[in-house]
Amino acid sequence: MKWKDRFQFIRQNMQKNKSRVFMTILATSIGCAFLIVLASVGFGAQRFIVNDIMQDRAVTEITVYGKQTQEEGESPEITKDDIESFKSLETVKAVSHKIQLRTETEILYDAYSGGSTVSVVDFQSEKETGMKLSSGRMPQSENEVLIGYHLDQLLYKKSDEQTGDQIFNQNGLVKEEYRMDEGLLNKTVEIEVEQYKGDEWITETFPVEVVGIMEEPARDWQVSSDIYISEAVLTDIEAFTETAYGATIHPDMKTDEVETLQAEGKDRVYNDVQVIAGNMEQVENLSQNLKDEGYHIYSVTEELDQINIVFAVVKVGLIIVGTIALLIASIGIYNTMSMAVTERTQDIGIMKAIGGHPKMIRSIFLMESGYIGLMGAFVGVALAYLVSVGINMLLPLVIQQVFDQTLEEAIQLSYIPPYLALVCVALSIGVAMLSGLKPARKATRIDVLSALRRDV
Amino acid sequence: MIKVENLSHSFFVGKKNNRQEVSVLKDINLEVGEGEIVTIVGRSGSGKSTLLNLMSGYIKPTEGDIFIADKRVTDYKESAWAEFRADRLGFIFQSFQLIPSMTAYQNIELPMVMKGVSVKERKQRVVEMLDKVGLNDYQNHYPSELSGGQQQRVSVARALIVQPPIILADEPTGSLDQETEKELLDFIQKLNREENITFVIITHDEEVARVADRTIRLEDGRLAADREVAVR
Ligand SMILES: Nc1ncnc2c1ncn2[C@@H]1O[C@H](COP(=O)(O)OP(=O)(O)O)[C@@H](O)[C@H]1O
Ligand SMILES: [Mg+2]
Repeated sequence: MKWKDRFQFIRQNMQKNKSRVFMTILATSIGCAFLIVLASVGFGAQRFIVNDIMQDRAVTEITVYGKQTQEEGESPEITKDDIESFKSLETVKAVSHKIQLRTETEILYDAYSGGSTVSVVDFQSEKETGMKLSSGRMPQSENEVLIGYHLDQLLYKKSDEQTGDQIFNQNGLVKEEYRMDEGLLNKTVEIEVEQYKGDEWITETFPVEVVGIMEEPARDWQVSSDIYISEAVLTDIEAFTETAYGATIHPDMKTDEVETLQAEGKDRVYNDVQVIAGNMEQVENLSQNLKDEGYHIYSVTEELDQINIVFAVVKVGLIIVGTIALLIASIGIYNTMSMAVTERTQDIGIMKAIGGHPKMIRSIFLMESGYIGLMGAFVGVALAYLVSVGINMLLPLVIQQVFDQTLEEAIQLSYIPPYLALVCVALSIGVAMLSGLKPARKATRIDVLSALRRDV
Repeated sequence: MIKVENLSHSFFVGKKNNRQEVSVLKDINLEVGEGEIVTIVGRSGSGKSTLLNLMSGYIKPTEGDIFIADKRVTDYKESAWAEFRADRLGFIFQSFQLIPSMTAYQNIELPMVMKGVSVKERKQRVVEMLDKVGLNDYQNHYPSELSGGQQQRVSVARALIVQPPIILADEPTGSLDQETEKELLDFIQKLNREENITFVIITHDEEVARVADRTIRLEDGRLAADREVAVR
């Protein structure tokens, strides 16, 4: 029997009991829609979280924390040699690295002052890694520096009258009334460093020129109070402190401790080493390479991997729950098909009597139940998309009502990736055919003579 | 064309612990030649239908062998029987056995649809066949909209449509009046002469037996007489 004829045959058969077929398709489509919508929440949440992670961190970034010492005398910290070896890798676009000053510093401008974190960066590398400025330009000469976006909002006039609570607002920034009323761009500021020398604390200042201000951090709770200086300034500071990286000596330190502080720093070690891959696809391979070479690294892909595992589990769970709805619908399909077989016993008997093959009869009934599954899936997918759009539209309203808060960005709680719809269509057809299996087998086993005698 | 050897058949009736064997056919031997019209006669309950059902593969014999078209069909499985029926056998039933939800046209077409014949060829052959059985004007009628004679013509057309060499008929005239019966018998004779189709016809009607080349009489499941009809 040709496929076309089978379809024709099935269409004719279904037309005999339209309302029953319609109800069964409806039940299947509701099951399908339920399954898709349930899973779509898992997909939506996953996408939301993944996007959130990707949003503020460059996804091509691999952070290198250090390395496992393999040979004796090799330091676990990242040295110039390591940086060079990273740079030589083919898939590496740039390597960003910092040296942090190991002392507390104050920034002075006019009568204003405030704390800051001072680091040495290689401005050329930073440019390659795509550092963006909110204003100004990248430093070119040795005493030019970049400052963090919030630094000017962290400086205030020192006086005995106010306590910290009065000066700072809840974001950790200086309240507007105490702030300086001009920006720091193109101003000369002084970095103040203290060191315990002889028997007393000595203070020294290092003037630097602010030529650029870094971008605002992605998270609004992050406060950027960095100052990025060139290595030449660090050398000046080290000359004053007489310790590596400007480390502070405390009066109660033992002599050998002081000596180590002084001896370090011949080979510079770097913090905040970030290897930037050429593109997202290379990150995974590159991460593995670096791991194999014994580096301790972190990349977003690792976190994504974990999140994806968690969500895979969640989604499988949701799909299982959704499939239960589909299974309930399959009981309806089973019922419909059983009735169809019973109703058509005579017809089947006649067909068998004049040479109808049992396989053909089985395939007709399997196709019929599969068709119910297919139609149910189609309607269900359409229904699910509608419900999904509805959820996404209503969610902001609900949040507004319940929490009295408006969302800054549109959250897509329900997201239906095309393959979810496809999986559901396949699942629906599968479940439908499975529930049609027994009725179909019953059809093939119909006894010709009893059917012809019409006594079944 | 058909050979039956030492064929016996028993039915089992009753529940498990009260099962009884009812012997219906006992040691039947007969042969039907190619192009013959053979009628099987006998009293009601003598086993005629059972014999034909065995030849059709609807039931399996308890003992003995059946050969059709040189094939030993005794041990055929259901699917083998299905293919064999579709290729070699045509069936005419007393109660027509048409599919009520299909038109005359569709009923006649059905065997070809099941065999996977192309639409074009199907159409051509059904139209030809409708012409042959004189149902041109009734092709879109459903069985319930046709008279008994017309229904039987549809069922004959359905049996003939795949041009089987053998047609098995169980009391084909049983539901027809004399006039229609005569028409059908004439048609059977015509087919036999023109297309050399072998017929095995069950009947308890002397009229039918008259068109036969040979009449086989069954009595209580045994072959009683195998009588050649001299005059056709
Ligand atoms: N399925 C069956 N189960 C039990 N007995 C049967 C069955 N079919 C037929 N018989 C019996 O077999 C005998 C012959 O039946 P059948 O072949 O139909 O006779 P006929 O067609 O000559 O009237 C009858 O006695 C009938 O009761
Ligand atoms: Mg009978």
